[in-house]
Amino acid sequence: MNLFRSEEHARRWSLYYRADDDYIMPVSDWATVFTASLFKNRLDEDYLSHADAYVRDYRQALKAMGKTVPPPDRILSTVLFTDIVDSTGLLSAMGDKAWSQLLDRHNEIVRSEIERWRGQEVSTAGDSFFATFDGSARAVQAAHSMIEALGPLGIEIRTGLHTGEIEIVDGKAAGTAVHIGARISTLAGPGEVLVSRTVKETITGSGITFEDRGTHHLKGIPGEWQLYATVP
Amino acid sequence: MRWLFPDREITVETRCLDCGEPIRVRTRNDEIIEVNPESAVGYQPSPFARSRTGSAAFN
Repeated sequence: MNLFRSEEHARRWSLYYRADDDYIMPVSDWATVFTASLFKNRLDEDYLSHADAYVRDYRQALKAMGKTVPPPDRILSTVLFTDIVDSTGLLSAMGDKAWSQLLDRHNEIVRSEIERWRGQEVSTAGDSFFATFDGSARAVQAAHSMIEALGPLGIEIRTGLHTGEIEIVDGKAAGTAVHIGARISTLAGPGEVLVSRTVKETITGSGITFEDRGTHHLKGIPGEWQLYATVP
Repeated sequence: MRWLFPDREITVETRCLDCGEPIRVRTRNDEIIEVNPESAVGYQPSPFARSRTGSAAFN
């Protein structure tokens, strides 16, 4: 949260990118909102496992401040996360300029494959991508296409996918399914497309085959998760 | 921050992002002791989901 000397200052500063549902409130009101368990519990190791409850608390606290909060849209989607393997090592070996050029090419290819397989880019951070697809098989195929297309550049990526209901708020995807996909991607090996059992079950019969990668605990997510590597 | 320092008074001294003039907030546990100037506001690019997506996806 950013602080301003008055609402006029905040509105002037945020004039060009403020979303309709951004909030400007007196500091004393924010203090009430921040007592919600959402914020306290973000210090907890397993806070993601209670993400839905936190969002509910947050929305209730905002509502108490007289702020209306539109209900989120929930849709079934397959989330795809990608990440370059050993990007720090590549950067050190190549130098800033060459790395920047390589990263630009990487971004072009990833975006091209997302578009080709009718996905939607949600966000990027460093050398990571987050995209959603309305078809699990196309999401898996997009991941394999990215790996294949990036190979000649000497870039290996790890990819993780999960299918579940996501929230669309302000055009952005969020929700527990997003966290699960992100966690799965961190467990993928170089050049691997690692998926949850949910993904596997939704694309049975598609011609994509699976190799069992065992059960795993995903940080902040309750339960054990059966994961599979896909073979196109 | 209040939960990181229970039962201790915390003072936040910062500057307005718009004009650069100082802002001071003193708090203890869940109570705001002082806001100077009193007109000070917080701006939160909401919804929470936006930041939640970022923190979970890339941490």
